Amino acid sequence: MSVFEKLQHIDRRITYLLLAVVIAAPLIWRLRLPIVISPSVRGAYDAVESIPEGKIAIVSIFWASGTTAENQPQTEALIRHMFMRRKKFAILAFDPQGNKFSYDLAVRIAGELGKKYGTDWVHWGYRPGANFIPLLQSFPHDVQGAIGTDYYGTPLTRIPMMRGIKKIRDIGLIAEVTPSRTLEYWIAFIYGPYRTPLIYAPTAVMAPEGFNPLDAGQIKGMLIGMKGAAEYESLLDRQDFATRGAGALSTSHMLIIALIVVGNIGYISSRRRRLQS
Amino acid sequence: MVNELFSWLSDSHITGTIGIWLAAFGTLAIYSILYKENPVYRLAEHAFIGAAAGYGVYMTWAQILKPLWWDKITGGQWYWVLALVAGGMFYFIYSQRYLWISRIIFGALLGLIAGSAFKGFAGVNIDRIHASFKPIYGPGMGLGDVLNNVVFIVVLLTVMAYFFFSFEHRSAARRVPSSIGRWVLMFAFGAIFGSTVMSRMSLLIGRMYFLLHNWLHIAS
Amino acid sequence: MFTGWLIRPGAPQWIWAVGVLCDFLIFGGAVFLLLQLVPVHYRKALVAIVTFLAGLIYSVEFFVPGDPKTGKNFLTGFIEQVADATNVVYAFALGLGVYSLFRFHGKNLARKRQGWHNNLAFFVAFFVMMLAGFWQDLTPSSAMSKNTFNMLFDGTVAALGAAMFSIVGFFIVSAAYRAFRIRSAEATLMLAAAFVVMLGQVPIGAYITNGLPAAGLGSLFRLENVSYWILNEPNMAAWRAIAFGIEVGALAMALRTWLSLERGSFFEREL
Repeated sequence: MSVFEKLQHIDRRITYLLLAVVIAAPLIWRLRLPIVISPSVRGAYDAVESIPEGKIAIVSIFWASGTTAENQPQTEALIRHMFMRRKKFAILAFDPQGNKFSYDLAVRIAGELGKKYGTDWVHWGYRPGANFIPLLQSFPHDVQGAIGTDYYGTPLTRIPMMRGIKKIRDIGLIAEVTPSRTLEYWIAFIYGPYRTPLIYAPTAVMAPEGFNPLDAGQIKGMLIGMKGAAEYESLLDRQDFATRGAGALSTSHMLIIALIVVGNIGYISSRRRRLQS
Repeated sequence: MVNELFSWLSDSHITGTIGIWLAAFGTLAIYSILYKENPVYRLAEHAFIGAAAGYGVYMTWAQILKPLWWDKITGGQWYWVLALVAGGMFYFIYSQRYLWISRIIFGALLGLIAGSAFKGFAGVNIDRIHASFKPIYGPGMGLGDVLNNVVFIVVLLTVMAYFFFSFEHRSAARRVPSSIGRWVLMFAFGAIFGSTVMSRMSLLIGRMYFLLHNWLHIAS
Repeated sequence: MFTGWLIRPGAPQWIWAVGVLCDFLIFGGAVFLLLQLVPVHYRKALVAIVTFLAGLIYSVEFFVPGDPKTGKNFLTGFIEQVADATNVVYAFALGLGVYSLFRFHGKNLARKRQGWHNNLAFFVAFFVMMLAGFWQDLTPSSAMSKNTFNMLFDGTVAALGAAMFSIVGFFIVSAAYRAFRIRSAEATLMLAAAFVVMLGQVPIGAYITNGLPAAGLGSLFRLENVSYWILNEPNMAAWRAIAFGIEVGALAMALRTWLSLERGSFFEREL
């Protein structure tokens, strides 16, 4: 086997080791690279800034432990921004794991920024994802009735910041943080009939589909995976996990491109040798 | 005495540290599959499924059934017992003889979702159809806008032509747009591949960061 | 019955549990017996009628114009009650998955098949996690229960779930290296688009073309701008076309399901 043919057959464990090294190195020795803000992230940021006084935002959580690395920094950046700008918000989880992740996250950030549960933010708890469509159908006409109770089982009618939040017109923004195609239902049953502003925070794998509603004006902005969270952190003048991870993203992508190129060099050269012989 | 034995559980620093070590060993156990199939990986995998299922059961009771069902019954709304009757119908799926009873409840729930399809279709697509009628030229449009709109129209029509299987692609009028559509789909597939790679790398970076920062304290 | 007439609010929880069980047996039994009276050849029709009536709720609510002031029609108030009910009914369906898991792992454990200790680990993890959660609920002011629950959640569910998904990253590198070959012009175009998007989406892409101007004609060739253009123009247009097809297909499927026209192994089996 020639050198070029061997390039096509590098042992997979060597590729795994290389990947681990190129990811670990920028995490240990920080790799500072410019973070460029994309128009979609800028749109999401501006949408949060524009939440009208007297209305609340909803942060909808569909993610679980599997996509923590992408969705958690997005959720954290959005919650932190809303706290910083004194925008009241409610978290609604459609995944049992995401329910706890989002609650713990909000409690931590609220503690850092001195925000009070029930006055500055509220967690509406967990509702089964299978009931998403029926909930969205009943939600616009009676927000408190559709949700019922909060994370602690307290009726929403007894929570101070929920006074006056009765119908969909009292919701100023909905931020959907999800690893799947759930945005379509918010658009179908909330944005379509009622024009409530939406922003979308998907994992990167769902992002190409997200440009469709973005172009149609159905969402105001989009945070694409961990990179989108890093851009958002940059807008908030912070450097949290997503910003640190962006350096490792760069090196890992370079490795994948290098491996694909190496594999193709081996492929082309071995094909040439076969044709010559 | 039991309290003294487990008093360390009251210290969140100790339990936090134990949680991190548990998580680190669990992560490494899962990663051991990268070398080869082994019993440690299988054990970690089964433990995860069990823990996730147990957590799901607890959360379903604590966040849904207790506040939205049990508390209503104990508060006097006895008719909520009928929800248990409806929920119980699901379990006839395990009976060969009474399987059809489960189809009633499945049919009801499927029917509910299917009935919302009209509103869903209108809510999603009316804006997108409207947004698809982009002008080739209009006042205030620069060269970039004109080119972008031309690209959009060409890509939209050719990709739709590619997926239109009602008629055979025999004539040139059918084949040419369809083959252009196949070419421009490569942009979408390339974008999907690039985004998928970024997504998976992000998840891996998250775990590596946990191991290096939270566990080993060697990452900043 | 019991929960409506015989048990007073404030009674101990176990009495309510017994009452609910008795009511379930009475009402459930009555429904079961009523359903047994349905002739065999009418059962399919009954399922179809229930499906149709359920679907009628949302579709009629959508098509019937609402009051100009409130936007509501005669069904809008009923929709909320439907959502409340389905919330609870869907929650009961969780038991289906739990039962399947118990049956699978229980069988292996009972027969001591190879790897039975893994099945035992499943049950141990299930009950420990579940009981830790209930312990926390029953003793809300106890730091011990709260810390135990958090320790177990962070150490098992959170960590192992993230690890399971993250190993795909390794596989995707290996798969991309082995499978991505430029065998045709289309594959080359796809690879080029993938490279541009991969580089443009990460900071290294911006760094590579940092020398190009930030505004003007030159900025169009900055990697992050080229990547964004690919995503926002040809990719978006292609997805618009694909999505139209998917939405029309989904509407057709929904209509077939609603009208019970769908055929398949589940629907074709004799009732």
